[in-house]
Amino acid sequence: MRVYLLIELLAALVPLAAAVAATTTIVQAGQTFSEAEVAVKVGDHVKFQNQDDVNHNILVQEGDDDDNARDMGVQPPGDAVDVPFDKAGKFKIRCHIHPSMKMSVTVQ
Amino acid sequence: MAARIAFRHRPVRAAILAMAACLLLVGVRQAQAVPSFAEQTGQPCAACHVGAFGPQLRPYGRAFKLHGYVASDGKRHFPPLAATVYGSFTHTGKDQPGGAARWFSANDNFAMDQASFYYAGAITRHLGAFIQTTYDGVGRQYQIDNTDIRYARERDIFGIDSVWGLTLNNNPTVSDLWNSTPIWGFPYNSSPLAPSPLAATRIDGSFSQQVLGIGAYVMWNDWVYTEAALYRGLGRDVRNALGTVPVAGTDSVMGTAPYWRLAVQHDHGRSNWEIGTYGIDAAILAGGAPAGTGTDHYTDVAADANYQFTFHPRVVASDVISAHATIITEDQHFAAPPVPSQSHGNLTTMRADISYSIAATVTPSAQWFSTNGSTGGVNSATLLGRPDSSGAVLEVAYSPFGKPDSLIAWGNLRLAAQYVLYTKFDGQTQGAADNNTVYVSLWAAWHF
Repeated sequence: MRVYLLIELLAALVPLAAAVAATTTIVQAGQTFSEAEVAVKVGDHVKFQNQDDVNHNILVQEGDDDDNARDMGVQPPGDAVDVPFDKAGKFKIRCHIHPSMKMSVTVQ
Repeated sequence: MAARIAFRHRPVRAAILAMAACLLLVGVRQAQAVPSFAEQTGQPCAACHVGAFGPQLRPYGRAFKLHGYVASDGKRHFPPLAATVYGSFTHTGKDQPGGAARWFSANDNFAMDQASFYYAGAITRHLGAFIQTTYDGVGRQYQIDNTDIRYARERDIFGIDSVWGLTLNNNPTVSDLWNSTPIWGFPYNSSPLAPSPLAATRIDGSFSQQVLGIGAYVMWNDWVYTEAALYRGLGRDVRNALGTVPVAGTDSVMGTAPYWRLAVQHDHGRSNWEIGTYGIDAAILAGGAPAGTGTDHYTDVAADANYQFTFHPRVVASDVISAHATIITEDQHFAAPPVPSQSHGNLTTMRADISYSIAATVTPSAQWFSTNGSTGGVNSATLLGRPDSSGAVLEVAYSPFGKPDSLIAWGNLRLAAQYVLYTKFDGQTQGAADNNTVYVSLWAAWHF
């Protein structure tokens, strides 16, 4: 009986957590990001929407260490990439293909 | 602290050593579209180049070069190898007595101008290269061509995003990001079988593959670009080994020749612009004379400007208007002039061109050029001759591929028809039109 109650409680919390996490949408167009910087909360997502007619490739870099950036893979035209931010900090976002495309995400 | 400094400098030292090693292993004249760059980035030619074929750069192409030719789609593409080949037909206003060149007729010549092989792309994460070797189908010789090996990093300078880098190259201005400077300037190919004016400033191509230089550059805040480099002349044995023949009787750069570049630029989305200055100071041993006989001294100071307008930045194959201009002034001091009054000389070259690329497929271009300077010296074939030449170049180029929807992604073609019109040629107005040239070329490029 206790097990069923626990499962029901967890099942009720899942949509609650999803409802709390917000998603901010950034448009990639003309080989630039639509925003230079955004601020989100821990657990929020940022969605990158490729509106160019060429591939992009999102890199998420924490601090100045560009050697350990998270590579989100090739993003064909029209595709969106959803990036969760699970810890606080300042992250540089760039395109691996287009080095002039840069923005930052501050996670609080 | 000492250990930390050593660690910070180790990548730079390693990069210089790697760049030097690469130059020794291999060895450009004109810049071309390089499909291995397209393969590495997953981008069509038109993303980097106006008209979907090199070498005229768009903002992304400049950023790719600035960052050391290493940007990629994250996949493995090593080694980045590519090839180009182009052939042509040349007709001149008047027959050239004795033939346009050895093995060629006095007029109406078909030729395989060049076949080139490239290493063009990343070497390591922050080190990349553009290395071209070329078989010259007119001179029938194989040689090292333009080479630019780069190490680049991003760092905050005074709290502002900046890119710094090192370049090892064999041609002043080959490292430049804009198409107003000599090596990557319009016209992007021209007939090797047509007469060309005798006088040219030194920085306007005479150092090509004759020197080796190392430089450092910084792009600060996407606004200010500075570059400084030091070039040394290559010895005759080295030039011979790299395929530069003949060496005997040609000029040699003596000592160290400093090169500088300062540009202010910005990209505003649809439009981007640049104004700047560049130059070089070089001591030249004329005509391969023995060392110790005195050197001539040349100081070239130039100004340049660029403007580009992209009609639809979200569309890679958008129409693009481009304009470039430069003026180069040269101050000449001769150690042993044939006439004492000619110990000093000067030369000034001006060029301006504009192109309208339609859907990155058809690109008409027009250029006006003028060179004038002092009488005699090295500027003219005769003691009292004038070096003045002027005219225009008209061209239409067609590139069927290199766009996002192109049928083939592994290569490209460029068909161009060019007309060179002279109003003055080596000081002469009368007969200048005899040198007018019709040049039709077909260029193919592909990656391996």
